[in-house]
Amino acid sequence: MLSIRNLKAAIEDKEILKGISLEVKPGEVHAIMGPNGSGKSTLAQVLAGHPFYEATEGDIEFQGKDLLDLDPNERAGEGLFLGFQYPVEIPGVSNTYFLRNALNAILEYREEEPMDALTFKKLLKEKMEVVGMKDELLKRPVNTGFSGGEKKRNEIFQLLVLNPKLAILDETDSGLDIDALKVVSDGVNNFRNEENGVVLVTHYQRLLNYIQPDFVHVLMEGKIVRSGGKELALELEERGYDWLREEVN
Amino acid sequence: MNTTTTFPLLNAINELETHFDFQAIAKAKLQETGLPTVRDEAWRFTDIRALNQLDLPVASTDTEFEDTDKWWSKGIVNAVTVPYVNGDFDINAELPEGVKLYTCNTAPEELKSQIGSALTDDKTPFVDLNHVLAKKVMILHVSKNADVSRVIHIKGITSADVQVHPRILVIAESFSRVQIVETWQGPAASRYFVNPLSEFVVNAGAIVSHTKLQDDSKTAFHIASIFVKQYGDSQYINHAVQFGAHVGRNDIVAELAASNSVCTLNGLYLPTAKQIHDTHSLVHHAMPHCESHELYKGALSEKGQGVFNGAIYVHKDAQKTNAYQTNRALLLSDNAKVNTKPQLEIYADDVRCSHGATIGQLDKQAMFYLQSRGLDPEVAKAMLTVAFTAEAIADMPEVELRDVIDDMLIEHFSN
Ligand SMILES: Nc1ncnc2c1ncn2[C@@H]1O[C@H](COP(=O)(O)OP(=O)(O)OP(=O)(O)O)[C@@H](O)[C@H]1O
Ligand SMILES: [Mg+2]
Repeated sequence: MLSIRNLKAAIEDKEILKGISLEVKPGEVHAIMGPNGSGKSTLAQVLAGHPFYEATEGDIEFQGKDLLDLDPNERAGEGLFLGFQYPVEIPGVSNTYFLRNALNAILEYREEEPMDALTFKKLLKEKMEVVGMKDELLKRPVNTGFSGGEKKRNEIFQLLVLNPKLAILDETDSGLDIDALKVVSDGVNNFRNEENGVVLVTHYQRLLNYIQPDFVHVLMEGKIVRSGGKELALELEERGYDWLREEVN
Repeated sequence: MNTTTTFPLLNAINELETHFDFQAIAKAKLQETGLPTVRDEAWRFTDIRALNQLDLPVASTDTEFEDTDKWWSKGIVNAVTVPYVNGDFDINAELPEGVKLYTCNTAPEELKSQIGSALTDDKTPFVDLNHVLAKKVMILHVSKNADVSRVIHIKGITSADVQVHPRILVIAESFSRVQIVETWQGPAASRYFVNPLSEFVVNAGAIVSHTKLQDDSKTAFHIASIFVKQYGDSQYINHAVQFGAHVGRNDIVAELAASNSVCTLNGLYLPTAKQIHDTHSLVHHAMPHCESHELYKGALSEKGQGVFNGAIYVHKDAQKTNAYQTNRALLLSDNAKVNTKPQLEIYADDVRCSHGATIGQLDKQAMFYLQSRGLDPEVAKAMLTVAFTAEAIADMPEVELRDVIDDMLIEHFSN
């Protein structure tokens, strides 16, 4: 569903991604690990179409379309979802109002009927239970004054409500306490099925105990330097990144 | 100076016979000094040359106007409507209990004598123009202790190609409560000039909400003067929202003339295309222990221009004054402009005053976040802009009207 070929990307003329290739098929979970500043979030943001980043080379195909040709909202319409490492606070826009408009915008993009208020309410209720979101958070403005963990939970909640084809989750596990980590993982597992894909950016092998990845990739200095199965994550946990750095150089 | 050649708008006063001294004085003053131009400090950023050039007749009973019913009716539930059409209104309009409607020749002497009582020296030449050309003063009297259950909706309507000078006096007697909503409209894309002058006398312990919605034709001129005089323990809450007019301006002067009164001035200005929206406010803290709060938000698009001039004057007796003022503007285009000037003059020593102004743009990260969830950039922009403006009308007591304004804002920012 997603194939990235030799992607290079820059921010303010500084090249961050230096030729990345990655193939995600329906039903697969890919974990991306790597040291701070290696370009993981950059990759995620480029996929979602953040205007600050410029893809300078390579191409990305998503669901048979040239992803780089699409605007961020069109990418969402095609079924791409980015769980932000730092979810943005939007004062004055209630969570419910925002989600309802987002969902209907996606349905409209797919030329489907908008969801009626009652069905939407039911959907919210069902998904809230999965991620243990409090009612009160729904009425509050998007992420505004949410704790770090609440913001991450809200990202997973949005993921479940919008039900995309591919979820890119950028460190959704960071800053969570152990119970929340379990809840967020349950959320992701609830989302997973044969037809959709997940790309998990994480620093912690721990998360991968809850969400079993099919592939683990290591990103260093803007390149994928190694790919393997879930045992690669265990190896990284044990040995750190230095041995890979030596191997690359 | 030959004011007639410089200001064709003043042609209307030349032939006019004045009936009262104050009219004669105003007329002489106008003929002597004319109308404001960008050379006047208070009009530096508000170029009204196009208005000054208009040689418009004053609306008369012959002026054609459209059916009043087809104008503003949205969101004002449980209201009593008093149409004020081309400066004229029906003296027999039905009003809720506790409120009486008069004009000069029907009002009892003790009310008539209050006409002009809230005016201060801070008058623009447009107040003089209103003095000379107003046809029928609308006097709304709210009796002592009355708790008026229905909103009073003054529905201002102006026809094309005329000038109109509505004159309103609201007297809220002690411990009364009343909500007044003014709306101003005229035929779309028509040219006219409306120059309302309103006075609010808010007596001891009275609570007055005054919401003003300016939705005039985008090629019309709307220059309004509002004078408020507050006595002890009173509250006056003003919300002024400007959507329409080529040039829309509110000069608001509030005088806190006795202790423990609270004045709130909130509003929105939303110029787009080549519109200019100007707010000049002046709060006189004359006595101790009074509070004033002011929050204005502007969202400006295309070549829209905003002017905000907020003055707070704390007189020497006004110890323990609390005065707060904030103006925040959001520029939605590179060509939009806002000129903001706070003015604090403090002659008492034990006061708390603050003012703040910010000019910003849409938060790009927020825009991207919304777009990444599927929202079209235009929708995302509208959503963020409406959220930005929300605070300035959040306390509007007419909740249904506020919801209508929200819808108008969404529509306004969606194209
Ligand atoms: N706006 C920016 N301007 C300049 N450099 C930037 C900008 N954003 C990111 N970078 C740089 O790009 C590089 C990659 O950043 P990125 O956020 O993709 O790393 P990451 O792998 O997600 O790191 P972490 O694990 O800390 O989240 C870093 O060196 C960072 O400083
Ligand atoms: Mg990152």
